[in-house]
Amino acid sequence: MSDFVETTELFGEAENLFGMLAVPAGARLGDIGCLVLNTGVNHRIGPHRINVKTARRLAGAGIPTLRFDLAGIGDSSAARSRHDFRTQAVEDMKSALDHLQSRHGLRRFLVFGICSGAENALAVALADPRVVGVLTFDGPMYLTRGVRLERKLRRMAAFPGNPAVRASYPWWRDLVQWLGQRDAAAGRRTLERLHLPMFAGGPSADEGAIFQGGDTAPVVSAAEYERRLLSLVDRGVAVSLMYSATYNARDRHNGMLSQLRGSPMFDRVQYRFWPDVDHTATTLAMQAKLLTAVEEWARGVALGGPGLRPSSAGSIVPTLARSPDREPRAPATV
Amino acid sequence: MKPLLFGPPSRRLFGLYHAPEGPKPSDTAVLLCAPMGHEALRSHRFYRVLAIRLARRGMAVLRFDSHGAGDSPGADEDGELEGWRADVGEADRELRARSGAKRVIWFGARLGASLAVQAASVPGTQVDKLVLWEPVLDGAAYLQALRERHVKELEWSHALPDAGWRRAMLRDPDAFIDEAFGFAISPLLRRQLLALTPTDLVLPSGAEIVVVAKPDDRATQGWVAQQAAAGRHARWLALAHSLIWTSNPFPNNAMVPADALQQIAGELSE
Repeated sequence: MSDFVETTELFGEAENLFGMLAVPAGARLGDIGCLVLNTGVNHRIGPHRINVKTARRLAGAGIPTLRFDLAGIGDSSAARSRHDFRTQAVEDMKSALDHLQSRHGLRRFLVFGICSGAENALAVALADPRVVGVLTFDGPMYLTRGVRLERKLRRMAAFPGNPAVRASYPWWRDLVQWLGQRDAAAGRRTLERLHLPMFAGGPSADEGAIFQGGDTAPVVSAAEYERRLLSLVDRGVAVSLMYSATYNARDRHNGMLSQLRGSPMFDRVQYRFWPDVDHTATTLAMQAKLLTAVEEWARGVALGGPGLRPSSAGSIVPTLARSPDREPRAPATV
Repeated sequence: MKPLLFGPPSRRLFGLYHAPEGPKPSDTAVLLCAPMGHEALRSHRFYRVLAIRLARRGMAVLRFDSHGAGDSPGADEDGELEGWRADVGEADRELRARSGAKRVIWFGARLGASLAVQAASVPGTQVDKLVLWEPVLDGAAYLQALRERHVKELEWSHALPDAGWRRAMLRDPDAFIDEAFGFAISPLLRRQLLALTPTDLVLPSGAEIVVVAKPDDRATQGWVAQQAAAGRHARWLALAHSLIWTSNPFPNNAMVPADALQQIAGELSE
């Protein structure tokens, strides 16, 4: 017999939003629940069904968890409003919190999101004081030129002996197709590239291709990102920022947020880099690691009180007091 | 759209029922059988849009997830063909009970199509029409393709991929066989898929059958010709499209190719 029960949930204006709620079996619900968000346009089961596995795991640990589709994604109908994507996403997530509060008596919430879900998780945490914990996996990156260069050099060093690294560069694939298979289109693309500088300062198209979303600029500046995270921890929100090995294979000194090195923020949020887990936890072994980490984090927040901070060793301990709730902040938009 | 959990308590299934719209409901209902693993995730949007289109044409539609897949109860490791075939039958009963339809069509893509063929051959099953989109005919080849794509995905998702992954895949036949794209493949499911061959996959007699596949897919075309020669009411429909079953949804290929949607919706509406 499983330790959770799942129900279908329709909610939002005109019940246009759909999700699946997993609750602990036979247990009286506490007041804290969790939202698991869409990754890109994948519907609510998540890449590799990771959202299903997460929700069931958390419900089994005593935390009711809703995985649902934002308006226009999966089985949720498009919204009637004219909001931009992020504003509408925040509205949808707040509708989910309203639903869990009114129908299931939950009052405090954790939010977990991967990639675009990470950005949405931060947006709703900023906008809604009921959010007491946010875990982002491969959320926004703020890389210094040094980190980018180090990454590039590692990949260049691997280039001669690693066919997979070579194949990750479109220019290499085109070159091989042109010379090996006499592909005229590949040849044209190769010649067009000849005038491009190979070592531009920003991320190249190749880098963007390897990290889904990595080719787009962050929504806000590094300073604003720091300010937002600090506003969350000031409010007592437990913030965990996790990063995969998809963009970079190694990490030193909070490298994925290297533009913010030295910030007091790092004493107040959990930062964790996973050298053995990729962007969507593609293998079962990666999923097992990520699920365990998410459960440990969620248990820590749910059992430890409204706010948590990382210890020097990286484990989570409760904060002493909760700051007064702030006014909801205007959501970030893209 | 009405979300459902149906079937016996020991094996509940998740489904989404689209009631017929408009003043004149059709007497035909359509059951949509999903592919396996990543291909189901990849084609979810196509199935949703197809269901909405058909419901607007007055047909009742049920799409569902098999046990251990999608939103249905069960872990990945629980998935196996015999149970999934029974799930198709259970979903068919649910659709008939809800819709009261006199005529039922089954649609399936990839392994969902193969399962539909097998489930339609179960004694006592009555299906009026089968529309099969690129059915998996050769389980061994399918597993090998998934295995190669799995390794490619791993390589793409690492800044510094391990060159040993590809070497292991090429040298060791037992490497990367217990999962594909993050979905577990149990030893039982693997054995069942290895046993799936075009020869063993026999279309049911009595039903109208349309097999949709790419114009250059000679193997499927040959299989349809063999089935037709054996007296099955089967025909081949060539369909070129841009949907890549094993890709992630976003890179340069449509989630719901308009031409494919139009053709398949047309076949299901006839």
